[in-house]
Amino acid sequence: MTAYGLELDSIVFAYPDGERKTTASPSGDRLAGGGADTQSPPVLDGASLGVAPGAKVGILGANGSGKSTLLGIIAGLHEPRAGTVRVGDILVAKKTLKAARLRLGFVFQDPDDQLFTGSVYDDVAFGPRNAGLSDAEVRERVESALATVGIPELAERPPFRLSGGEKRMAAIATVLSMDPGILVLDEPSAALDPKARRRLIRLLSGLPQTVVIATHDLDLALDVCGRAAILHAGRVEAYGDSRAVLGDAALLERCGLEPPLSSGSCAICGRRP
Amino acid sequence: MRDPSRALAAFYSIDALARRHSPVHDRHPVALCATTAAFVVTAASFGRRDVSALLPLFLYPFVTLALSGLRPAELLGRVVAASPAILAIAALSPIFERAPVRVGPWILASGWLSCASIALKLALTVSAAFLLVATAGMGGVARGLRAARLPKLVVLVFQMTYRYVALLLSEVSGMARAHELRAGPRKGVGKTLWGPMLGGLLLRSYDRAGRVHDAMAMRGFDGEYRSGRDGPFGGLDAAYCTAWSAFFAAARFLDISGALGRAAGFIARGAAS
Ligand SMILES: Nc1ncnc2c1ncn2[C@@H]1O[C@H](COP(=O)(O)OP(=O)(O)OP(=O)(O)O)[C@@H](O)[C@H]1O
Ligand SMILES: [Mg+2]
Repeated sequence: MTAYGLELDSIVFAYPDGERKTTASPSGDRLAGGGADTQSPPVLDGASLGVAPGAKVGILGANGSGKSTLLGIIAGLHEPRAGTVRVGDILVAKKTLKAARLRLGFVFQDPDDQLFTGSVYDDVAFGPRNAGLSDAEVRERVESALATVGIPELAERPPFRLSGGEKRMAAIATVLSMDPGILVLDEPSAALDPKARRRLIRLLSGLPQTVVIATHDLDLALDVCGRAAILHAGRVEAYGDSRAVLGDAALLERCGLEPPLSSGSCAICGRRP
Repeated sequence: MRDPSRALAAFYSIDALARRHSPVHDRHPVALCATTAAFVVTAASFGRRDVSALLPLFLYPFVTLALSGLRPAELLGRVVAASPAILAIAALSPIFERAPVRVGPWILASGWLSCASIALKLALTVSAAFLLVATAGMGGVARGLRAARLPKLVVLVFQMTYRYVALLLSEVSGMARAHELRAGPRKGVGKTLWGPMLGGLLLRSYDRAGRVHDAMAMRGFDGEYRSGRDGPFGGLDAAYCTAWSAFFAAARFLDISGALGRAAGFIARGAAS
């Protein structure tokens, strides 16, 4: 496994059918009609981010600030209107997409999207089989991935019968089995109980890979990520040491976030750290 | 559908059956598919009023059931589930074919013979299809279709349809639960809600299918689904195919039931004298 760096440069992106955001007024919803093609405002408008190989970065931001969208661009699921993405030394484009994706492990926000076969084993084996590994190698990969996330006993269970937390771990195993150099996770701690969340934090902190996490769980970001980036109004508003970024109350306030309360329960998720 | 999540579980349960190991499960999927195809062709090739001649063919489902370690109830349940359709098709014959025939000591309308013949053929076919899926798995069936030189795209569509049904069922299951929880004491979905719910269902499952496809593409999916049973076609596989094909040919062209009947009569007469 080689941990790769990641480089996003001035990304601009708008959804083709993006909502025409008119300043909300009760009668305002007619303004965009009548064929007058008001450009939908870009979700991302010049976002830049550099991640060193092996670094762990938290992407923070209010609901709808574009975190999932940014991750989708890293994975080549969306094509940016302008700007470039580099995974290691690969400039992501149509031709290089396959090579770039081999280096990426992408964990979706909803684990149900990631688990689609009849057993956890088959799901975790899906990537290695596609890579053309032999049955023995596949078995080894699957067993080690399931052991890493701590659910070796669930291998033969159908994924749709798992609990939310077990599904999350299985989803992470499906990408770990591909031995990616970069791990990209969207809201990994959503729907986890405190103990499962602890285990996830320990797991992510211990991974040798480069890790990019989009999350609302600021405490998780503090625990796992050395650096944090805050998305606001389509740009990376702040990027730096996560303690410094998350300690800046004025910045968080401006970006619609609340500071992680390491004392008392977290104002956002209600959990105790 | 009273409880869609039960349907989902039943749907995936066939997948689970196929993950077992047995002398049948361990055969190459192409051998299983070829044998099934030979069986179905043989059953279909019998004359439309053959009844007793079909009986030896039941050896195939019985032996496969025994060898594969599947419970007879698992097969019978499926045949019973299909029986209304089978009977509806078979029941047309006595209505249209009224010419009398002699069956042993009785005189019947010939339609009854066709009816029994059709019902038996359909029951045999349903059993064989179930046994195939329960031993080779959907992945194995796709493998067989590919081996039969069906284009990659066609096989992919076949597999995606299978996955899509599962997705659709799980979306139905989620929506049904959401509706049930908010519907109060009313039973069923009111007629004003059917439209929006169906529309929502299609959109949701379409989006979901898109995300699942993304997740597959992220893990190196290139249109060829690898089920993990891609070993070489061995001597045992060839022997399995050949032995069954020989038996099917014998059942078709030699009068096994008649011979058994005569033999039984011979023995009975021998014993009496
Ligand atoms: N498929 C889509 N089509 C059109 N607009 C979309 C689509 N997906 C997201 N958007 C819009 O893009 C913006 C950013 O969405 P995104 O999902 O990236 O936010 P997010 O930061 O991940 O939010 P959350 O914290 O709630 O997950 C939102 O305004 C959203 O409405
Ligand atoms: Mg999101």
